[in-house]
Amino acid sequence: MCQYRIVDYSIDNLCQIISDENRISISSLKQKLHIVYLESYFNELNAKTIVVEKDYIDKDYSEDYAAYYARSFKPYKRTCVRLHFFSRRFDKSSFEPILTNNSEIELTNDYVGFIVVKPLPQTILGRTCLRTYPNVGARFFNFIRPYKVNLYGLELSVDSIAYQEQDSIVAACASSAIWSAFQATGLLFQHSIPSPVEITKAATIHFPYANRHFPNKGLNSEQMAHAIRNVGLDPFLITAVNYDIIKATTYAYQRAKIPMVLGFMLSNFVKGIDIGRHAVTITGYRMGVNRSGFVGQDFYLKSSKIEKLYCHDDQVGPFARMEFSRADNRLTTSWMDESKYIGNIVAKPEIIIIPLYHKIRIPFEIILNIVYRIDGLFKLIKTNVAFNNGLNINEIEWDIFLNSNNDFKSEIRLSGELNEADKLVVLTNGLPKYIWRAIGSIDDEKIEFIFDATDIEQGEIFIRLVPYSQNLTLLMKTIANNINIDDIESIQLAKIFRALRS
Amino acid sequence: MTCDMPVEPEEQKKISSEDLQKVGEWLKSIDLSQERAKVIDPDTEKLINGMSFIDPGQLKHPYTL
Repeated sequence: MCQYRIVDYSIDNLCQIISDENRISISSLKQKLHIVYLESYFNELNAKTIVVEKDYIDKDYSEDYAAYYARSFKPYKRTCVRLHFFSRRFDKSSFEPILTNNSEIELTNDYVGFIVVKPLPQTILGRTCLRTYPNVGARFFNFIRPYKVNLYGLELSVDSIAYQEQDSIVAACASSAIWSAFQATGLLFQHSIPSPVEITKAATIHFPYANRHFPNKGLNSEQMAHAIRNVGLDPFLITAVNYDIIKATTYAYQRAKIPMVLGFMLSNFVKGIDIGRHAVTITGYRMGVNRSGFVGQDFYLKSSKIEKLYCHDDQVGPFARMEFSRADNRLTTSWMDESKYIGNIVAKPEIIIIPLYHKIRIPFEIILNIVYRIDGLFKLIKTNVAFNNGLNINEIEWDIFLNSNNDFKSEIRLSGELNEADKLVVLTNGLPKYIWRAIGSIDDEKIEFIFDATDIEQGEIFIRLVPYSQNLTLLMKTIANNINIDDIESIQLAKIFRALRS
Repeated sequence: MTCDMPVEPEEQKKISSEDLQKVGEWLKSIDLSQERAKVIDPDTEKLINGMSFIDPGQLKHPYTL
């Protein structure tokens, strides 16, 4: 019996396939927000053909099945259907020679990704790996990774970060969000990636009265923290009540390829009512061009240019947009209200949870505070000292982010902005595994401070300056040599100036 | 070369040794602890320093949707 089908892509055909496999009516499928979202997403990805791979055994669903569905009175299927999407139109007569290596056609570049369809009545989207939005110039998906696919011997690959819909039984939104975050941290920090059911178990094991393990109705921040500790990472919580804090934090950690879970309250802003709390994984962001001051101050961060977040929202789809367009610190969402209108449901951010490697000890706020003070000092100088030229040191834009030693040195090696001697000094300098980088830029002048992200807060975290610009380097040294260090309130800033004294 | 030829941008931006000297003299002449209040906004500093402070009650809110 033939185990696969090839169907021309259209949202109707996609619904028909799922309807045939899961015995769900097409009308109820079309009510699902995921289907509405996928229709527009597949249009962006230019999907043309679906290959339906039947009786697919999915690791994560198998875990969920063994933990819950296998013991149900009603028999649930053990196997799933995997749908592969291609941006090339083909049929069986052209596909079979490709499978048997008798065709010149190469499908590798046309592979858009796959969706595992779980054999459940409502929550059908299992592991889903789809290409990101095109035009990566302004969009940044820093921790997408290749997912290898073997389709009847045909080796394919898609760069993505896996997504799945919660089934509301073994996992709620928070478990799905953590599962997606672990897809990135598992590779980055070398830990095993538990299935949603294992995440829920680890999260709730120490909270016997909080709610039932299964069916699970949600996790709180403490439970999410337990799930993160269970894989050997440290959960780091940030209060996400301010746009600029969310942008700065997202940018700072995602540059180091670290994902994060965003928890927020969903509200219908037209009716003025709260709907409930929801958690998503932040998987990317989009940068604009207009710079704006951090919390309304004339302190300019590159991260403040972020206009949108891309999130794996288990109730919407992968890489769903959330836009910083509202003045009241709420993000737009793709959620529908009860009249199926998209645009009235907004998210009021509450927390960000970042799963960190235990050696990343210095939090972002320490570095941000140091840079805020350096920036303030530049402004004081500009206001009080009449320069003979036009270098506006009060207009500096700061790019602050976490980076691995390896990524930093690879970038320095290829940089055309440092002379050979300075490059060699920086490259051959021993560095910790993770560093904080604060790069100040004004026009074509640039200076960089690097800090040890693995030290303790009272330690000597400043490592060195990277002297891209002689002007700014000389200015920093002049400040260090003439400032009264005893007047400096910040211990870390005082340590920087002591280190720079020559 | 004519007298109204634009000055090279590099030259325009360079901080001269005279500028650096002025910076040094000014820094020596001031009490920084008095001056910092002019550029450090206490609310912004409080916001930065309080980023990772979480209200314990907030830890109990379940994320359920």
